[in-house]
Amino acid sequence: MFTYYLRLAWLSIRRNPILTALMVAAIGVGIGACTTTLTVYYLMARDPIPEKSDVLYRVLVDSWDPAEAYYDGDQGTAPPFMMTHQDAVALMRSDIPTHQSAMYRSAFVVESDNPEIAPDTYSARAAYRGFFDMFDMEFVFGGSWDAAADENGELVVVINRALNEDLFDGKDSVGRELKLSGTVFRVAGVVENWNPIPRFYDLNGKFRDSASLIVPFRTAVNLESDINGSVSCWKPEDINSFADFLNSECVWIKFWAQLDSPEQHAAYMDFLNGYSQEQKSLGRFARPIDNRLIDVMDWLKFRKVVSEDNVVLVGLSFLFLVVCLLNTVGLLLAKFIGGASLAGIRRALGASRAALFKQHLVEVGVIGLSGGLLGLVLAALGLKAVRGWFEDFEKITQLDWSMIGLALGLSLLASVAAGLYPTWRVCRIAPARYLKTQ
Amino acid sequence: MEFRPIISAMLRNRTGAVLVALQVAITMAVLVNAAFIINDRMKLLAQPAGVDVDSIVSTLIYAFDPDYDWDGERRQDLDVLRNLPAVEAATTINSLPLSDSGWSSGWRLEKDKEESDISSAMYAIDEFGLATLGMELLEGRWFRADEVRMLDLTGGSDFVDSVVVTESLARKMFPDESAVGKPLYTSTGESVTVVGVTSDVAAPWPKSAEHETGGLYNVTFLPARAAPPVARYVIRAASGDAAALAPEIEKALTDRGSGRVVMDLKLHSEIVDETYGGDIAMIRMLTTVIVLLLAVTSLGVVGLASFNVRSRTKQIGTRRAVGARRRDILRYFLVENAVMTGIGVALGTVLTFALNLWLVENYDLARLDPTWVPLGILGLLLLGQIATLAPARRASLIPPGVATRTI
Repeated sequence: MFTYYLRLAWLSIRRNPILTALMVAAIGVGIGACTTTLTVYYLMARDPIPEKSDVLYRVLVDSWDPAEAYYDGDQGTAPPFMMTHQDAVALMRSDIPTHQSAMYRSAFVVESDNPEIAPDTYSARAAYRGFFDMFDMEFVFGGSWDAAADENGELVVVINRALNEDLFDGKDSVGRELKLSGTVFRVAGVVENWNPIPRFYDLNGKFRDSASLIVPFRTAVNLESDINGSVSCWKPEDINSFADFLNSECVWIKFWAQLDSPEQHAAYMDFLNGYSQEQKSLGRFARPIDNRLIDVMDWLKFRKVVSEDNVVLVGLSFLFLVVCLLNTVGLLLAKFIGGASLAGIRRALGASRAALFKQHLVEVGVIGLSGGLLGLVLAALGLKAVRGWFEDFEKITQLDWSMIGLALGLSLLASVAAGLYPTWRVCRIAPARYLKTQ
Repeated sequence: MEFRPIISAMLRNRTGAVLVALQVAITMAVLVNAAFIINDRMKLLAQPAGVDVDSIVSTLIYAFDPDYDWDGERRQDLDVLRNLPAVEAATTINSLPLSDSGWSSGWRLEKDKEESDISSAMYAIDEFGLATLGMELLEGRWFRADEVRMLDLTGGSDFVDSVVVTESLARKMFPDESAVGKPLYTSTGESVTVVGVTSDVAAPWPKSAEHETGGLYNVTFLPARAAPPVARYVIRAASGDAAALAPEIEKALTDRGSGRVVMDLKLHSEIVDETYGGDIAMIRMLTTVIVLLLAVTSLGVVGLASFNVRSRTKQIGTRRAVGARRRDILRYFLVENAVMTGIGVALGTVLTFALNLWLVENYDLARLDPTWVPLGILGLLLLGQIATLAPARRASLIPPGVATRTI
């Protein structure tokens, strides 16, 4: 019966090609617009590290200006998002977190032994070895550096697979030497390329790639490596050297910790509060104690990684879909009533209302699915256009299977919703009236 | 006027009319709000940079060789650039207007004050800065070569002695008198003298300037150049077309010397576009939504009107046979659409304000300027009439004979 209905639907579509095309187009653009905005939203809003996002915490301690809060906005007040060097180093001494790392973004010029490879700048992350375990990074070759390297600021580096391909043809490069901005480092390991979207642990450039180079925090600081990120200072201080800067109240370091159990969380919070208390007695931390442990998803929400513009666009595109559906209801009504005489004949020949209802719904479904397919094509084009506009949108404009499924499901649902009333109308037709006019 | 028959015909076939009215209402709410948001973003994008964005190109020099002659290489680089015939002027600067990244700090008008009086974006620039960026010197003078010193933003050097401020900043600090010759103090008590005032130049942050510095044009120039390892050069094209100049600059700099990487060679217009990336994307997406929405709505109106014309062929024929003129038929359909669209825009007005209210409450968007609503109403009424015109004309061409033939 279903194939028969499909054939009837095909005949009906052939009878009114323009009206059908209009309906498919209306559903298509509506679904296309919604899929485009939803894809961007979904990729921005997704959990970048689902297996651990609830045990990884951004650590904030309030070292800021007694006169005013660091953040005072629509989400209340908050301590500085970053940390001073002295606090970061002090907190690294705690043994409560399972893993932890202070970090900042820097860059090095990589000089290869191979004369064919011109020196070029690569982004670098200065971090402690906890960085690798905390974020479950996979090693292709070698492993992370040891605790002594962290302690002494040894000249070791972990590179990612992409850079290893470029420099060492993808071969095991552990132990090889690499010149970074004039200093010779030893490769300790090669990690798999890992580019969480959004880059939750450092939201400066939230949709950009992770660093190609990872070096010990102490090493980067000793080399006075560039700070590629925000630096915020509140206190008037004479800063005449990098050492002065490190001892200043300027905040610039990001700090993450892994706390697996509520007990660990509570113990770490106690530790932070104790630290604040201790600093108070030393004349720092003049603000009320306000230390925070914010897990990944809350952090992304707090920092508004999904821009409000995106939510607005999703809302408006769904309103647009509603307009497209109202349009489709009107057109379907016109089409079904126009073909009412045929329906009348079928009724007179013995088709039940239920059969007519099913037949028309099948037709609606065919139109809806065609609209959905058109919508997918349009969404792919739309996302391509968006991607072409800005390099930052590259990673958040990829259609994946879940969005394709959603788009098709949505189009089927929407068209059936749009088709219910016209179908109901055509089924209520008294056959006699149409037989008469034949 | 034949309002009564139109209304009673509509009441007999309510569904079609309701569908059109609802479509028009939602279309209007989305249209007006989207257009308003677009206008808001356009205003943001229209904020003047204060420098000639199209004629400027910039690049970063990243030195990695420990033996790199930082000062000497810079001097030679800039000499080479300035000697290119296509180059008008070249300078070094720490960051650029509207580039979304830079340095801000506070000034105190009296020494030893607890709090700073005013906050300002800081551009560290050399003696060629005025000619390169192209703003106007309104008072006093620009920097001399001997004033420019190396300044490490994370410390390590003496502070400068003189500064030049923009007109806006000068007026905010010294509302009633000339700023030239006045002292300003840093948070650590160093004193500098204002030696000149230029026309307004934008700070790096067009969207957060109020928060960062209390105003987009609160800008101070310091006679300073960057410490190793990164320096930024800014070059102004003599022709005013930086795009044509960029490849030449890149070649000139890469050909000179080793021990450094030349990177991020970008037209200033590209940098500004990146800063506004999200806003430009928003404008384009909303424009697309508006265009599609108008297309869908007008096609819907055409579709429904055509259907009505077809299903009423006999009645139209009858009306023509009993004396209705062509233009009566035409007018019937136009008035019918005006009534449906009229109901739609009435409902749409309510929806428009409701949608705006929701946007204002939940998202950081501006309250709708009510003068946009009549514009939306007029626009949609016009759209409805235009969309109805073709089917209505077809209706008016139905010959009176149809009535007699099929009865």
